[in-house]
Amino acid sequence: MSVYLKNISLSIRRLGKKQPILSSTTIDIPRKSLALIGESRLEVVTILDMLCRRILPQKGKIYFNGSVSWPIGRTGPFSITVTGVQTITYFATLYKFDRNYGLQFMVSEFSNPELLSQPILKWPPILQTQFMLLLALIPNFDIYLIDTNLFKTDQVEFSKRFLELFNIRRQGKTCLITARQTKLIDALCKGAIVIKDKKIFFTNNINEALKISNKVSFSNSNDQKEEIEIDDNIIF
Amino acid sequence: MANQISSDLRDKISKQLSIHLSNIKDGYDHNDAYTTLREDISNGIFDTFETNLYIVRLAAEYSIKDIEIGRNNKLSKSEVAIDPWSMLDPTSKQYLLNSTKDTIENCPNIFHLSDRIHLRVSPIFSRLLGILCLWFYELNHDASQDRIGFIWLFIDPLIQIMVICSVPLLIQPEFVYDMAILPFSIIGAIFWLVFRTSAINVMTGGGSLKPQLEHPHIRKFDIMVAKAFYSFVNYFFAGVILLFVTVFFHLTDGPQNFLILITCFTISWIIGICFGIIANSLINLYPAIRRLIAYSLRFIGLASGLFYIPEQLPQRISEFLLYNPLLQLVQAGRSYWFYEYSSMDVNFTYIFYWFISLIFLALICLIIDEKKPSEVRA
Repeated sequence: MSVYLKNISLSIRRLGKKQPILSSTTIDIPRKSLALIGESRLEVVTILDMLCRRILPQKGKIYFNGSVSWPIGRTGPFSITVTGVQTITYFATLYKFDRNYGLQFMVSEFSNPELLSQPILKWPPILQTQFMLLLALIPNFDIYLIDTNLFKTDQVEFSKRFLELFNIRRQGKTCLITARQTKLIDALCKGAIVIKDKKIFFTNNINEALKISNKVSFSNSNDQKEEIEIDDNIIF
Repeated sequence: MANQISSDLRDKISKQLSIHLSNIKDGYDHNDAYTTLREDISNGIFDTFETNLYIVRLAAEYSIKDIEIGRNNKLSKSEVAIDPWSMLDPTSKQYLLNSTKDTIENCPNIFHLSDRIHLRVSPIFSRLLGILCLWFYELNHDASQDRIGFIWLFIDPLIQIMVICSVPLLIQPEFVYDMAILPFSIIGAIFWLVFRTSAINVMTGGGSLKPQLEHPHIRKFDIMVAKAFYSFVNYFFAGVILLFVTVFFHLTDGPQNFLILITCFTISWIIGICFGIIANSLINLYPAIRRLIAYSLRFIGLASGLFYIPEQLPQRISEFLLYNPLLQLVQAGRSYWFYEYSSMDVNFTYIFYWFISLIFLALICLIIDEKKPSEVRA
């Protein structure tokens, strides 16, 4: 067990109205890489928010077996007006890793280490994304929450290196990855956590799970090239 | 519209932009060069060969876009040769998940140092460290807003204190009950300002620090306290500096009991936080109450003895005003700074009951608010 949700009831406010997301649901999330799939994006985002404790359930308890990451890919935890070095220091204190190691790691992996002493705001957007992803590799989390495209089509070399490092990191850990890149989900995930009808459950069948959010895995696709041409960004 | 831009205009604007880019000290931040180009257009530099300003502006934006595209291409120039799809194809040699084993073997120590520090830190200490960390982050955020950021962080509270001090300096005599008017007003001003700013910072629910809630360690309360701590540090240092300046110029003899003075100042700060938490909770329930709270803060300000002491007021009014714990704290602060004055109205038991009740109420509000359905952005 890595995360145990016990009898959770969770509602959110959406455009001023109360909207139930989960109702008295219990699940034991296993320690492996899993896709997080919901009927809508709202449900997935809400579950991620709950797991990173931005919102708390109205009823029930959540038990974490290990440290939890921030939702990787979200820009919220980053302030772009501060410098890269200041951000590393801040994250080092919050997540209790060695700041010097953080700097050393970033200097060796980041495309343009000279920028680290400049406010993030001044960096090209590509490097901002790189920095945010690389920073997630430094702390040794037990539970990774991922809400972004892990494979950046415009930064292939970087994506390759990042995924290599991330693969080392995720060995024996829990990874909850939102289903954005179906092909990558297929390659990385051993199952899926599905939010449907105000319940949350685990399934080993990713393809069935992807159908819930109307995303079909590439391995089942008959005409792959055609799909790529239709909507490169969404699929990838 | 784009077709109306002449190639001559594009060339001239591109040349001008190149000149600006070559002049920037910081090779990465192109924004300064872009801003200068836009200013050039506003100043009419290109008016000689193009009368339509919108066309000139559009041409400038195209030139900027070209430069940005060039930068991004430069960053990923080595990536053009690689087919991204082959990296996600399990049958391909370039399948990215195949290379993991090599990476582990080649870089065995890559994550060696990053394991969490296995120190047994108490949860309270860890929480306080988190709050301090948030405060530093906010400080850096505010200071990097403009060039005079750090200096302004220090000057701003000084100006605010002096503005409030100017009122008693104008309406009161040189000495109020043997207290020199300048330190008298400084004490009133710093107590009021620390209460007001911490209450307002907390009332907004954390403001610019709100996105930090996505860190699993950080709770709403931490953000509120970090925001309020900002005002505590600002007004504490600004107040202490101004008070010791008055000592240096022999306007006053110095603190009678500095420790109690700081304690009273800290209580004002905590009361401000509690007021802010309760106000935040009420605003979440009834948003319109925000206006009432703004007025109630002004009333508390006037009733807190910033410009006067209760002894100067008619007895009926002073008896009423002494129900305000902040007035009592200001009076206590003055009593423990000046040797010449000791207030008979300060009742520490009364302050203590207010203090405990407000903390209790604020905690209840926090617990209730935490469980309420929150807004989620998808």
